[in-house]
Amino acid sequence: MRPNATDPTLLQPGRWSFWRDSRFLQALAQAIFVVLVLIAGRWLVGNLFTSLEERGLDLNFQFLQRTAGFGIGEGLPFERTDSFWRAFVVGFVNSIRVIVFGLALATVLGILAGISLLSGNWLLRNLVSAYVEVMRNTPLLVQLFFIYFGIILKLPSLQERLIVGQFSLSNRGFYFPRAVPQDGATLWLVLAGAALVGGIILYRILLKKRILTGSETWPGLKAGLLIFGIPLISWFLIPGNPFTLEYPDLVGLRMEGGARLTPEFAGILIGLVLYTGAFIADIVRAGILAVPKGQLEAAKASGLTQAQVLRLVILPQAMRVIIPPLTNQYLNLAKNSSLAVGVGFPDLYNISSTIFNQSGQAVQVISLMMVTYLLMSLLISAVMNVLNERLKIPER
Amino acid sequence: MGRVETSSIKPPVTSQGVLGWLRANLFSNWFNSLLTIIFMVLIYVVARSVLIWSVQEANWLAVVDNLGVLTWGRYPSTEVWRLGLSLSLIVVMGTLTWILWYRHSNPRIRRVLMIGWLLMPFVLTILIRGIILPTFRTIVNNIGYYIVRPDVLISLDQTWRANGALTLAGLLTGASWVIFKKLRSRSLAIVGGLVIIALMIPLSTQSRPWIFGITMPMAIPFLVTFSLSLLVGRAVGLSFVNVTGSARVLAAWWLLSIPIILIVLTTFEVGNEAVDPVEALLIVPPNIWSGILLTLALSVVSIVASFPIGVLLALGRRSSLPVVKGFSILFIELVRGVPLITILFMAQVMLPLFLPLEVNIDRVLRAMAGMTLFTAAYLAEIVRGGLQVVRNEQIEAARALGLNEFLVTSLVVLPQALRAVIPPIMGQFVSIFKDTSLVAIVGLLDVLAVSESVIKARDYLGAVREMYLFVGLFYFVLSYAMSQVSRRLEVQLGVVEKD
Repeated sequence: MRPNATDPTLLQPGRWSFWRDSRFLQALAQAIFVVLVLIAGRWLVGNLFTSLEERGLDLNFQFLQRTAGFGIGEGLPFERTDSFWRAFVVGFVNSIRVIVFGLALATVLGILAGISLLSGNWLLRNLVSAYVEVMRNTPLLVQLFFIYFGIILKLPSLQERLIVGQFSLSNRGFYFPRAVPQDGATLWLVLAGAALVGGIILYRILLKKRILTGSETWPGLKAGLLIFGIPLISWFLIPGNPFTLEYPDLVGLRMEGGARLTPEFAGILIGLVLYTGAFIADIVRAGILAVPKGQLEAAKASGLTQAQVLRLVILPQAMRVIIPPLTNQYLNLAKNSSLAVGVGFPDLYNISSTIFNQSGQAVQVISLMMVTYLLMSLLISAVMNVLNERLKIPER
Repeated sequence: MGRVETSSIKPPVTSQGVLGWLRANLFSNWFNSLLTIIFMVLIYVVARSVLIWSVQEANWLAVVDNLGVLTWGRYPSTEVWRLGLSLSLIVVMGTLTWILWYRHSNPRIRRVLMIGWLLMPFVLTILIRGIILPTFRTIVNNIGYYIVRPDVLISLDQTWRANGALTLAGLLTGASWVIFKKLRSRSLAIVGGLVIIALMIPLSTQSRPWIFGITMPMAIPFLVTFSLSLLVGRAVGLSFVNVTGSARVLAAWWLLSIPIILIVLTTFEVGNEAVDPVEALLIVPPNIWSGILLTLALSVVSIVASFPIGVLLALGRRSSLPVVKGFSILFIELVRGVPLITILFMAQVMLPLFLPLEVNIDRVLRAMAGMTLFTAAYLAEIVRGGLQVVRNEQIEAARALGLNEFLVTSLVVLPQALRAVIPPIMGQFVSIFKDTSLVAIVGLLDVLAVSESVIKARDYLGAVREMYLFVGLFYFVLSYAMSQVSRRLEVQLGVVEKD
């Protein structure tokens, strides 16, 4: 019954039954899919309402106004009488703190380690490569537990703390002097900020001039003078010091004054930075290796120093290869910050799960938490996409 | 510079021997020498204190005494031999495959090995979880129940058993109709299908609320199930109609279906009059699995179970149907945008809300479900990468040969796509293996959680570092081995791009 290809009637429309038409089949398949999803959804939602009724829960977000009734170790000021919503915000800000510091430090560590992986020094290369392998092949949570319970909490107690000048390290955290703003602080900060912006603009103008005219304009030197000079001069010109230092001191059984890095924050931060740094190191290594060898040789032949070769020739080109996988690592770091719960740091996940324990409102708490993480991920990928666009080789 | 006097040129620095090596690799210039010296001092200080600690202070007994607990946790100690047997099965199969796969490219040996690996999950599940087998008396008794008191079954919410049996029967009958050529085989298949339908008659006359809350006789959903699976079976059968040996495979499936249907329909327990089925292997439910056993079970189950879902999602994401495509993209991106721990948390506290009140899945299965969905989203992206590697000519050539879409995908596209992504899939396996440690946070007793509880015991209090070092070492050895295998596979499969 196979139709003959030369049969002219084949070309006429209407010769084929409609159920052999691929457009019809596609529409049918989609309709079936939608119906199946609807049936499954109807079943799930039906179950949800029965379960909610059984447990006396609802689906609105009113409960967020209720009193939390639990304390939070660190972050924005928070009282037991504050609302669940306030607690959620505190957790969110804590997560952001970990993520921002983590991203910055992990990038620095990753780039340094990545370059060391290609170093000519046998000892350095192998040490760093051992670090990378250990970090990549053990779970982050185990590392966090080891760092927090095995190292930080095993530090000497507050009474026997390790002291270097005004800095002290104990199992209660790292204490260091705190800068307390005085009357002139605002003015000084404004001046310093203006100097920084002005310095950057000056640097760009002078650099451009040097590139265009070829005459030495000392951009780095002049900008540096501006950026550091103005704050330095104004520090002495503004009456009274803009900032004074407040030193931590042991009063009775606890430390007073100064600033403190809590063991929990230190634990999650160190863990995240060491873990993500290892992954970034591998990415940086691969990125540098991806730069064609001719570039390196040409740069060396032009008489650039080792540092200049790296800074001006290798890294800019490697960045293009590095950025996409680096984005993934940044996203991973943001998501892994939720493991802070393992060391008891009150981050977004930790607080959310406490809110759930207090209120029982599983659906709302989990949706709120997931949406927040999703937005953080989207923000990071958006920023990295912009960066990626800007680093692209301009095409003619 | 002018000419240099020949006599003032120093002899070339040696580049051979220990000295040469040292100079080239450690002291090539002042900066490197400085680095070398700094790191040597650092290594000396660290290594010395670690050595002193591990010999003098460390309480390694905490690890040694608890190796059993760490490995199988609360698994009944009389049944531990089953875990050993499972492990040896895996090792034997692995070694056999390693030796035979490349040395003998005999397709028959390969097929036997493939079937062996496909059966492994079932064998291992039965070995580790245990099994209830019906005795002859139970079978007779329970079939009697089917015929005399079908109402009891409904009250026990056992109708999935009937639907399962019907689906199997429908698929087999549908496939037999197109694959079997001989009249005798065809009639036998139809008789087989009819027998299973006949078993359902007593249950069919009962009424119960179905979806959308409409009460109707069970016959209607049964009919729907059976006819749908009949159609699917016919469609699948059509794809294999001219493949040699398909009739034999189908006959084997028929034989296999008899024990499956018997087990599905008769291992329930009803009333006091019921004759208890025999526990051939003591049932050890997943919620008491713990330690390394749980860690391994979680990672293996989630990677195996997520594989088909991941492939479907990847195909869905490249589908030309906008609805399917949109659904796949939404699922993949949602899951990839949130931390695993939130998904595990959701699986523990939110999943039960979405299931009927009477369904109670135990904690470990819930965690497995969460990990499976999570892994599926990541696998889908890996497989999508593989699908992009398959060139369009391949698909067009397959279509020109007259293969239908199902066969094009399963025989031409997927084999090439999956082959290309074996190394990243191994990488995903390593990462999911490490990620199983997160279940400790939602209260499951994996190896990390067990080690935590050991540290809290009075005898081993404070052996924190020893314990976590051991756990870290366990993860490191397995992960490192897997990444090395993955690297070798990369070279062997020729996936690595050559310059």
